[in-house]
Amino acid sequence: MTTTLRPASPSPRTLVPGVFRRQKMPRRRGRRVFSRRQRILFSVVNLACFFLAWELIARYGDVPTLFMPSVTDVFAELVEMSEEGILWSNLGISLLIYIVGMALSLAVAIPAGLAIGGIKVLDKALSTYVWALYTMPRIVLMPIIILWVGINDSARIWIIVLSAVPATLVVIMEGVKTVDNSLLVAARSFGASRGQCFAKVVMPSTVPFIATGVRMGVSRGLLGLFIGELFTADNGIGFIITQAAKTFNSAQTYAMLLVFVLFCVAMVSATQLLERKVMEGRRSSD
Amino acid sequence: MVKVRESAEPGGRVLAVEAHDVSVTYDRLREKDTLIALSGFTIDLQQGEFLAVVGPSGCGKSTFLNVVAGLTFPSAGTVKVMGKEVTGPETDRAVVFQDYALMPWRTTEQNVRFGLELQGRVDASTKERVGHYIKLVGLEGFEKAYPRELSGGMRQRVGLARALVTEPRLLLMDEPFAAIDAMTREVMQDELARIVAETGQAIIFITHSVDEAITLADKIAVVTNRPGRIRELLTVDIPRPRGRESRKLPEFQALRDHIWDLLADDPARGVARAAGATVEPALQEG
Ligand SMILES: Nc1ncnc2c1ncn2[C@@H]1O[C@H](COP(=O)(O)OP(=O)(O)OP(=O)(O)O)[C@@H](O)[C@H]1O
Ligand SMILES: [Mg+2]
Repeated sequence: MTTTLRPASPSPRTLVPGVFRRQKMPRRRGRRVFSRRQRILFSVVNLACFFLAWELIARYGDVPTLFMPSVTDVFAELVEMSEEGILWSNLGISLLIYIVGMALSLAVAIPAGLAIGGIKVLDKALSTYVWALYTMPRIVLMPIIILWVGINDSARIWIIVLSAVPATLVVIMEGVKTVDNSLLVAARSFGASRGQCFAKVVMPSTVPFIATGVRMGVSRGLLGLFIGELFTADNGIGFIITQAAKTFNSAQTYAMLLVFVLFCVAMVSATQLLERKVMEGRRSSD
Repeated sequence: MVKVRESAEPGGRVLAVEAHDVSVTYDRLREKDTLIALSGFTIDLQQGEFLAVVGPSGCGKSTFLNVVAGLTFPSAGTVKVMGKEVTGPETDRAVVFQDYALMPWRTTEQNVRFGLELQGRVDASTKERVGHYIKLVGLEGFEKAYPRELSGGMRQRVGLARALVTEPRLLLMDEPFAAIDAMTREVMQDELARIVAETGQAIIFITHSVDEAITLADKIAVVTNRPGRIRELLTVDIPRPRGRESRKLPEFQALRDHIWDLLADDPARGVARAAGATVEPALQEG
C-alpha cells in the first residue's frame, strides 16, 4: 500500500460498519447490474427474436418444410396435440419415469458415493468400475438392458439410473476425499467414533459436492431418459419424437423436441434452485 | 532452578502424565528413509502441574502432544495418562490445535460445543456453559460468526474455548497463543493461569516463546532438534502470580538466558536422519 499524506477523509471502505459481516463486493465500474424485470424482459425479447428468425428462415428461406417447419406450424401442432391429450399423457409418463429413475439414482448414488469415498477398501475395489461406467457412453448399455429386462418401462428406468448414478457418484466420491484431515483429527481428539466422524465432519464437508453431484446426475439422467425412450418405449416424449420423425411429420418432431428442451430446462432449474437453498441454509442456520 | 529427577510421585496419587522413553518415527515413503521425530522422551507430570515445552520448529513438540492425546502412536516407549496406558483419545483430555481445526460450517458457538456434542454431553446447561467460555476467551459478540469471518487470533481462541469447555483433566495446548497479539496474549495468559489455579488441570503447553513458558509453567522441557530429545527439564520456582513485573526479576532473566543458551547450542543441530542428509532447521524466536 502506498502512504498518502492526506490525513483527512480516510477511504470510505475502511469505515464500513460490521467488517466481519459477509458483504457484497463493491459494484465494479462499467459492469451493469440488471434488475429482475430487466432480466425477464431480456429473456422474452431474446426468445422472440429466436422464433422470429426461425419463422422468417422457414418461410422465406430456401429450406424444405420437411427439414424446417415454420414456428406457426409447430405451435399449431402443439396446440392440437395438447387438445387431443397426446402431449399431456406422454409428458406425464416421461416425467413419472424420470422422477422414479432419479429418486432411485440418488438413493443409490449419494450413500454409495459417501461410502466409496470414505472407505479405502471400497475405493480401491470399486473406483475403477465407477470411472469406467462414468466415461463410457451409456448408450452402449442399451442393448444389454433390453436383453435383461426387455422393452418396457423398467428398461427406461434402468438406463436413467445407469446414466445418472456414475455422474453423481464420482463427484461425491471425490468430494469425500477432499475432507480436511485436521478436522477429522480434531473430532477424534474429542473421542469421536468413526460414525461420529462421518456424521459431524465428513457429511457436512461434503454437502457442496453432494449438491453438485445431484445436478450432474439430473442432467445425465435426462440423457438416459431420452435414450431410453428412443429405444424401448411405446410412449413418452422421446417415443413421439421418433415416431414423428419416422413418419416425416416434421412439425410434430420439432414440437416435441421443443417440449423436451423445456422439460430439461425445468429439471435443471429446479435442481439449481434446490442447490441454492441448501447452500443458503448451510450459511444461515446450522 | 533445579534439574528435576524423574521419579514416581511420593504421595501415591496417580501422575497426570507418565511418558517413558517415548520414540516416534515416521517412515517417509517419498524420501525412502525413516525420520526420527521423537527419541527417548521421558517426562512425568503431576496432577495440576503445568509443563511448557520449548524447542525449535520441527523438533517434535506437536508429535509429543499427539502421542499424549492418543492421536499418534509411539514406535517405542509407553505413555500413561491418569495412570492408564494411552490407547487412543479419551474424554479426560482435550487438545488445542496449532492449526485451529475449526469446522468452517459451524459458527463460533457451534464450534465451541463441538466436543460436548461428540461426547454426548449436551444438556440444558450447555448453552450457558458455551457462552461462559466464549466470554472467557473474549469472543462475546461473535457467537454467530463463522471461522472465515474471524481473524487468525480469534479462531485460535475459538479452538481454546472448544477445548476448555469440555473441562478436561489434562489440557494439551499446541502454541495456543501464537497468532494472538501481545496484549491479548497477556490477558489470555492471565486467564489461563487463573483457570488452572481454579480447576487444577494439568497442562502441556507448547510454545515458541521462552518468556511465555517461564511466565506460565511449573516445569519447562527444553527440546532439541531431530531427533527430538529433552535436552533439559527445568523447574520454575518464581513466585506466582507472575505478571509483567516478574520478568524483570533476576531469577526470571537467569532462567531465560539459560534456556536460550540451551537452544542456541544444540548439539544435535541439524539432523539425525537414517539417510544422513543434513538440513538446518530454523530456530524460531518467541
Ligand atoms: N505425518 C508425518 N509424516 C512424516 N513426518 C512427519 C509427520 N508429522 C510430523 N513429521 C515430522 O516430524 C518432525 C516433528 O514435527 P512436529 O510437528 O512435531 O514439529 P514441531 O516441534 O511441532 O514444530 P513446530 O514448532 O513448527 O510446530 C518434523 O520434522 C516433521 O517433518
Ligand atoms: Mg507443532
